[in-house]
Amino acid sequence: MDTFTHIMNGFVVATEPMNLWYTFLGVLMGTIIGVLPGIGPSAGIALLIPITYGMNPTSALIMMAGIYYGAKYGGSTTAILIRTPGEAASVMTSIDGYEMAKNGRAGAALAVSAIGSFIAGTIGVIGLTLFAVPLTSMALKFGPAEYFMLMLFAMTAVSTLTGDSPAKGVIATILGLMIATIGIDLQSGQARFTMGVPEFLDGVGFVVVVVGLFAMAEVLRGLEDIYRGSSAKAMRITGKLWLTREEWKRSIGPIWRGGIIGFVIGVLPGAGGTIAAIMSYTTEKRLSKHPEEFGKGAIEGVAGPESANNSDTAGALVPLLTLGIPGGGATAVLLGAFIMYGIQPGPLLFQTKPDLVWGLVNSMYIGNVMLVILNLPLIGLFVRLLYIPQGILYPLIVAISAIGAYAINGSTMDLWLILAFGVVGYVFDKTGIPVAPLVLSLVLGGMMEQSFRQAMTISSGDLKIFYGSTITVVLLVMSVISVLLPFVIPMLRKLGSKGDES
Amino acid sequence: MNVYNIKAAVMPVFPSCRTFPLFLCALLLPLYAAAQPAYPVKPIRIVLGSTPGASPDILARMITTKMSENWQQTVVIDNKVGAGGLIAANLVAKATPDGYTLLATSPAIAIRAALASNPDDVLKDFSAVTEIGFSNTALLAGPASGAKSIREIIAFANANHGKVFFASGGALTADHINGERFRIAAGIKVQHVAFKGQSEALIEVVAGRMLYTSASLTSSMPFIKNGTLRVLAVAQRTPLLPDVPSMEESLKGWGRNGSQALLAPKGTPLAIRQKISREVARITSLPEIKEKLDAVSFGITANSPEQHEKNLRADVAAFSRVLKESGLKTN
Repeated sequence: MDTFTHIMNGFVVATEPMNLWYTFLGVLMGTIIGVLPGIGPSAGIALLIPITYGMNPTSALIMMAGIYYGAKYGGSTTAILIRTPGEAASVMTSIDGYEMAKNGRAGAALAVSAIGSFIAGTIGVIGLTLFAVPLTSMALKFGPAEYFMLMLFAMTAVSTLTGDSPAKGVIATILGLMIATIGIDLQSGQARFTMGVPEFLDGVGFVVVVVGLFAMAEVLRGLEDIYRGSSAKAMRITGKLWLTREEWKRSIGPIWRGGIIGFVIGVLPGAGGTIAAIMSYTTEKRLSKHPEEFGKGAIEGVAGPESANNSDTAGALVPLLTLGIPGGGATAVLLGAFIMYGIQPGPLLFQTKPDLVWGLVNSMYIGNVMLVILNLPLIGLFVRLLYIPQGILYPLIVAISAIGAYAINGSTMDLWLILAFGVVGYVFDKTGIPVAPLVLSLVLGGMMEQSFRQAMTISSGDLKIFYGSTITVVLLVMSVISVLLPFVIPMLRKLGSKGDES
Repeated sequence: MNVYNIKAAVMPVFPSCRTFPLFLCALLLPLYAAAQPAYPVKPIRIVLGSTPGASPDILARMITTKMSENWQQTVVIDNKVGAGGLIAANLVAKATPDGYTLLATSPAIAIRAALASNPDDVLKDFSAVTEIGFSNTALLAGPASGAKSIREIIAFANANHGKVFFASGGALTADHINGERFRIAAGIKVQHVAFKGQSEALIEVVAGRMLYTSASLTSSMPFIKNGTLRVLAVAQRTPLLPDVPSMEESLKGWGRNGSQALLAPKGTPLAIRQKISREVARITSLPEIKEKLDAVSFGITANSPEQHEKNLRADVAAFSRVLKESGLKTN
């Protein structure tokens, strides 16, 4: 039987009433898990494993995958409404999404998240359908040197996130890199900067930092406003919870690009949805005709990252299904579920269990349709959160953040950390230091350092390894362009305008 | 609690004749209990250092489900993730030694003890209960070397002296130590490179950047089946790969693998630990459980507290030797 027949059979499996029901159940649970910060898809899927023990593997895996991509839909809701990323990959959304909500466009931000997620999610699944098998070899070509160059390219994004003052951007970047070094060093196994605290051996959790910097800092700012009596009354949203024609026009490009960026990043094991979202955000900021709006409620800053982190989930299933390699936490738990059912993902899976694989992949088309239907009408419900008086809303944010941070490791240490990072975020805000570079360098710093050291061990200290392959050279050139672009473009414009005058 | 207290408590209801046989039972029950420790009379908590859904967690849940059915007591798995199991270990070390708090460990605890200047710094807080078993590990080579056997890979490493590497899923993990153990036993010059987790280490070997790695058979099976990785030897011969020799057969003096085990806080009564160890032995020999464990090539080594204690010490000594010889331990 050829692949096409297998794919068609997969649709038959996916549309069985039982499997439709489990798809629905999965995406519904995923949305709820996504809305709650801290409780990510990994925990959600893990909790289901013992319950689904006796189930038909196809249905169980369809449901678990539903949680995985469904969570990315829910993650944007809390990011937009209370500036807390409900899911780590929604961190970029909490920048412009929240600003949009403050400008009275919460409905539009939520709508564009859902629509963007739907379109990009579908792009991702199409990519998964078409390229799953051929892409396997690409993932293999990414060795330590290639990863380092990819991280370097992503790091050049910092230059676009620094805001007005490069020096302040550097402060935030370095602080992020410093935090990234805390914990057991992968290469030597030695503990670094843990100050004898066992909880620090695994490093400082990304979600913990982000929840502190965004949500807790927001509460502190709100407290100050209330204390001074200068707090703005929560705005009633007038008009439809939909996009204006102008917003549509501005969103469609970021959605497409985000969808493609997300899928490609997803295929690479280890990169993940957060990096996809950051890459999309910085791409949109560069391409935008009005980059000054970013950070102040640009719809592109919501549409792009939200699309990217959705198609990333489909991309991440490529190495999982074709190589048996999980790219991140949630796919690792999914792999565990596969193995529990005695199914070994890998190159042979497409031949030995085509019904299961294609049933699973095709259920994702249906799941995405269900999610957009589920999420759009619910927007009205979520928007009501904004009408909650601040006296209730702020304690609520603190409670949700604390539950979320505690749920990850069950560690009280993390509760102190969100408080500490809340203060850091507040101080940053008061002194005009941007938060985004810290977040970015925290995500990339650790991986960048390890890839660099792995590559240097392999090359016995010879830097040639970083321009030794086509991939590294391309990434190097892209990084250089990326750094120079902000300087070159104004110069070109100057030249151009001079030419006009003469 | 002694017999007199029970008697005093029951006395007020004694006047009713119908309760007399009950009274006798109540009188006799504590005597019986003294001979046979009444365990478990409340829920048992098993603390685990790995995430829900990871293989040690699945193993623990498999066992506790049966334990709970048999003893009619809830057995809770408490995932205290972090610091390579240290957080879970610290928690159990401080728990009351009554058999109601247990620690499910991996070989990581033996490695930690081996790294300490005095292993007792790590082991003194615990009493052995039972081993459960070990995930069969494989020594794997990628396509780049073309090696199909231990002898061929040694020859390849010698021919490419100093230009070859082995991958592990992290420094000072069991995989890393196995890789070093092979390097020392084979007398070859290879440099270690750590990656984040077994799966990344496996890709590096498949891609040909690394010469070999040691990884669990479960995670490497798909690569073995489709021929992208060659399995040179396994920790223990398995029917899943009947032609593959064990490490011991290939390189003399290879020794034991570290194991998954149950530990109790120091001072937990031996009778209780024996009861748990017997229960684990019973469960791991149940056909349905055995079948599941065989399918993932998990070797069952359930044993007595005494034997576990002995094996744990032996593991620590063996790890300590490898760490010293590879310069990873200086004290």
